[in-house]
Amino acid sequence: MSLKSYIITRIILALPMILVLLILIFFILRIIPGDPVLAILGGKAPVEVIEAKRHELGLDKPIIIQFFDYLGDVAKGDLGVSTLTNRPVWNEIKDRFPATLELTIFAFIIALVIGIFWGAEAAWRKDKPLDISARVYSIFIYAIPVFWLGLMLQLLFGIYLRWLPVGGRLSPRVSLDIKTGLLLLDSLITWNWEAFWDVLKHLLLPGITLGLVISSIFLRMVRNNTVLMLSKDFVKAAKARGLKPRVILYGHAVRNAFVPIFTIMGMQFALLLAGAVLTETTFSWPGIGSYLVLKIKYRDFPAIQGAIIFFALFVVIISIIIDIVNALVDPRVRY
Amino acid sequence: MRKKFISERLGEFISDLFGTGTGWLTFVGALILIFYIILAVFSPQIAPYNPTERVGRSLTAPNDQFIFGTDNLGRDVLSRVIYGARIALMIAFIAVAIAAGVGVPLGLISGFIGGPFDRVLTLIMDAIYSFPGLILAIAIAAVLGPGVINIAVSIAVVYTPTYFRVIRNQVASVKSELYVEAARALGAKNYEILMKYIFPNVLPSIVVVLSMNLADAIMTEAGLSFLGLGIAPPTPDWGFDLSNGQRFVLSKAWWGLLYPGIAIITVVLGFSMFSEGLNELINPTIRERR
Amino acid sequence: MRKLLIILGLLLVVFSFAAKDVIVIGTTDKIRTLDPANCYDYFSSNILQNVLAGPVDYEIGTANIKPWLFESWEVSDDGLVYTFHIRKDAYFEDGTQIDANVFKFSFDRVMKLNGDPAFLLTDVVVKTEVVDKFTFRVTLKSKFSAFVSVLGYTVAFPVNPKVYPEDAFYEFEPSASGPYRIAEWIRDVRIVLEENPRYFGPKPKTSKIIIQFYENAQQLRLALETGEIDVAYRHLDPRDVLDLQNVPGIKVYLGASPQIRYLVVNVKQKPFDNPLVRQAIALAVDRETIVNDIFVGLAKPLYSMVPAGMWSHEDVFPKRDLDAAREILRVAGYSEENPLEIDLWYTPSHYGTTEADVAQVLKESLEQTGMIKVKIKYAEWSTYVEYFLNGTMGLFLLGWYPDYLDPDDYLWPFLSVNGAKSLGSFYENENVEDLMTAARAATEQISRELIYKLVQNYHAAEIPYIPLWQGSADCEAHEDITGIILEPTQIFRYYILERK
Repeated sequence: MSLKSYIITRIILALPMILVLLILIFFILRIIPGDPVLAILGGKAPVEVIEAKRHELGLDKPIIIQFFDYLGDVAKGDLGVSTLTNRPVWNEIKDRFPATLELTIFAFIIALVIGIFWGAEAAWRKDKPLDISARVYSIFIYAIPVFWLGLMLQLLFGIYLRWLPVGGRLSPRVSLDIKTGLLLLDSLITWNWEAFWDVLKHLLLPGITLGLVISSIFLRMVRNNTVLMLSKDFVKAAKARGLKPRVILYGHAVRNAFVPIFTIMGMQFALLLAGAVLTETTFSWPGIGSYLVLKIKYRDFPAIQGAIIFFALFVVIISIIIDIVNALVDPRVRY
Repeated sequence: MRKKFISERLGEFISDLFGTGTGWLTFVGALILIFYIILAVFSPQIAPYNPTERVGRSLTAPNDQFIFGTDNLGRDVLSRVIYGARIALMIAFIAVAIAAGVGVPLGLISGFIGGPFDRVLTLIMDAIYSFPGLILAIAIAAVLGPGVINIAVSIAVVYTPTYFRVIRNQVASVKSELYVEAARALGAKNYEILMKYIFPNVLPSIVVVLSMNLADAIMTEAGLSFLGLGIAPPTPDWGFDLSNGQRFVLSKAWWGLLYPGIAIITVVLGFSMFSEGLNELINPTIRERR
Repeated sequence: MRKLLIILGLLLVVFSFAAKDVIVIGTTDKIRTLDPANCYDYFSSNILQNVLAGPVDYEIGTANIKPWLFESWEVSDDGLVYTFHIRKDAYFEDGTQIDANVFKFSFDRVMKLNGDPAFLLTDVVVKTEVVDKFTFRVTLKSKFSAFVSVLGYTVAFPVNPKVYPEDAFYEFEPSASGPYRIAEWIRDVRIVLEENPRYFGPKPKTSKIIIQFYENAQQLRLALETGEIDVAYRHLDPRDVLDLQNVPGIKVYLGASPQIRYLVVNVKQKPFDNPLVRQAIALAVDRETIVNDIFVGLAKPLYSMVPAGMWSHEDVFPKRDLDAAREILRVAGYSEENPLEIDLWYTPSHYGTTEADVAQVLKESLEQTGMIKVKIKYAEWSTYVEYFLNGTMGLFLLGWYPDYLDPDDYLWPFLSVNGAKSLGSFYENENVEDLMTAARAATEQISRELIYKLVQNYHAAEIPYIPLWQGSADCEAHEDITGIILEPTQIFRYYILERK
């Protein structure tokens, strides 16, 4: 099988899964006791208005018809219109997605930096305090609920020390030309340093919170693999050649420990997204996670469905990409 | 490769630190669990105050009378943390029971009979499984509304596929073993084969998954109630108390945040140590290391 | 490593500067839509009130109507036909003139699209006409003396026909005709308002206003304290408001709010169909603790549906009296051994973060009789609405925000048969409805006042609702900001804010 047909097969295999998810999501959300129309109109609207709204939203049709309508729309890339704001759900998600992307990428980088450097150094000093502290750190950071970690960081850096903002993405007085929606990138490409610092300050606490939570997994992977590599012959050979310790560690051991680390990154993605929902809520980060929580309060069906479908697609697409990259990187993984 | 339980991951971290097969770790884990179970069962006797009643001035900092302080309604935080163990453990146990109660039989049957039924069921379970668990639980909890059973069900849905997958795969491999073939040749009924030969074989895995699942259930429950999707206040609940405490951080009422959080962390650690030990005891070989 | 620390240190420096011509307002409210045809929530309307010019306005600080786009108007003798004269110097920001055609387009569009606030027009308007370029005529279904007040609401604000589609809601920035135009709108992050050069009225005192959106009260308060924002408007926790009164450099403004909060009693559901039960509950509820402990004195106890301060208000409900409550419960057949067992419902997010606390205090206050056992239940808003419409809930917390400031809007929606049905009390009393209809037709305020007092007494005798408290409006700002006026109409005018 060629790489191309592997990719195609991989995508085709994902389709029934997406369909099953769509079905589940749709029917789960239809058995809610709350009525979305009443949630929009409140108690003040007369009965005729309620009926008209229900008709307008297609909620008076049989559920099966509603489902196929919906399926058809989704296939066309139309996620419906938010019952709360009357905006197309896709537009709302598009507005908010960059925030989630920025947060998760930033968190990922933080987790990687912690994982690689601490992990490598810990492996180099196996069973020394730095190594033991890394192991203790892993245990605690993993047992801590992400929102509690966020709250504690808020309390310390936001409220007692007043160093960092505890929510939002951009200070009101800082102006920024928004192009990609990834504010850090936007401020860089427009050479807007004031905005860059401001965005970074806002990103720091939520990014660290989310990053720390997944860092422990990377840390362990890097440490254990590097320990293994350091005992291999090629490292000994490098030592014999008189290479500097840092070069041996990062140039040889860590680099070779990296393939399994890459595989596990994909596995952490779902964890990262779930963590993002809680982190976004804790830090009022205007991304898809806080969007979902907000819309659930209003029983905004199309928006909730849209957000969940978006999450589902996101997970599936990322896993496909990671599989493909894996196949490219690691010759043992063959189609 | 599969997603790992929180307690499984923690188990790895713990055995990294202390080495494997340390019996005292299991023992410490068991002690923590017993401690929390006692708190949960005897909360009315242990808690100094009624957790839902105003007993002091609101937002009193920890002092001799209220060693964990009081919340915004003048309720004793210590008593709420103690009673919180009740809800956390209750929901976790019910959720795990439901997940196992659904996932195990489905896994047994699906793995045993195979065919299209198996394929469809596997597809559905895989779809649920691939989805970020908390997000799914949020959606279901929002649908079902508040209540102990409802929250437990939303958590159970997330973990059912895990049981299903573990059991189904084992059954599929066990059923072609020689002794099963022999029993079949001797005219044993399907039901008998399933109960007599296959079920005992998968039982250890069930026990291990069960014990590992509890910490995850507690963590998920805390997340749900933190988002306002938990049981109805004023029932004490760690996650809800945390989100309630968040409202008063600017009044520097840190005690409302610190203690429920510590309770969650210790109970999760306790379950992890315990299940790690149990895992090594029952299944020394099954473990996917690294 | 040291370099890294220096960079980090730089990052942590808090930038804080305040330009003189910019004022930043923070809020936890959200914007749902800026299309007047679909806008029916407080904050969106308030933005529109600063960005669009409306038919009529209120004099600052009062509830008195004054002309705005409509210079003057005549009402026919039968009270059905309103003829409005439009001023000739009003334009949208793109230069489109606001004339009778624009008004007809806007009114017809609202009624055709039938958005959330459309009933305010559709219920009363039967026909709209362009008489000439600057004369607009509206015919009503029946006599309705409050019609001009309705025109003060954003539903009646004209929109630019070149921008707003005729047959669909519009989700983007409105085309401005008021003091400000929208320069930037990052949803859920901020809105930047700039002086609108085409506005016919006086220039805003501050040329640029930034409205920053926050998710919760803590973040809003922190932003105010750190100087990130100049003004915090809407939804700090009551405790924060209290704390901020003692923070130097910050001024807390308190004003009246027309919002009332009450318990609804479903008079068709057992055991609440028994008037004695309702009386006992009304006697046992502890308004003082709610007001003092939860709202730290920022709300006022309420003893009638018509709020204190509005004409015709009378304290018709009795003060708390536990002995009397016990007495009544005993008569109704309850005792310490055989307590009255009831469910009390609330909704956790619709009315802010304090709602769970209110339910808890209510539960305690009822249980202090020793003869009532209360179970607290909750549901999210949409479920809640469904539950009260279908009569699932027997006793539940609800709030009311009037559409127009008149005792009629505090009584008719509650005590008319249809109104009571739509609020879940299912109260039916034709005498009361007849009285209120008579008050609507009466022209003399004195006779209306008499009728409304009578209606309030009817209400207190039959108790389909138990009024609890009336809210207060609050706004917190740095001392150098002037022009903050909390108006009875609740319009928050950005264009009179100024930094001194």
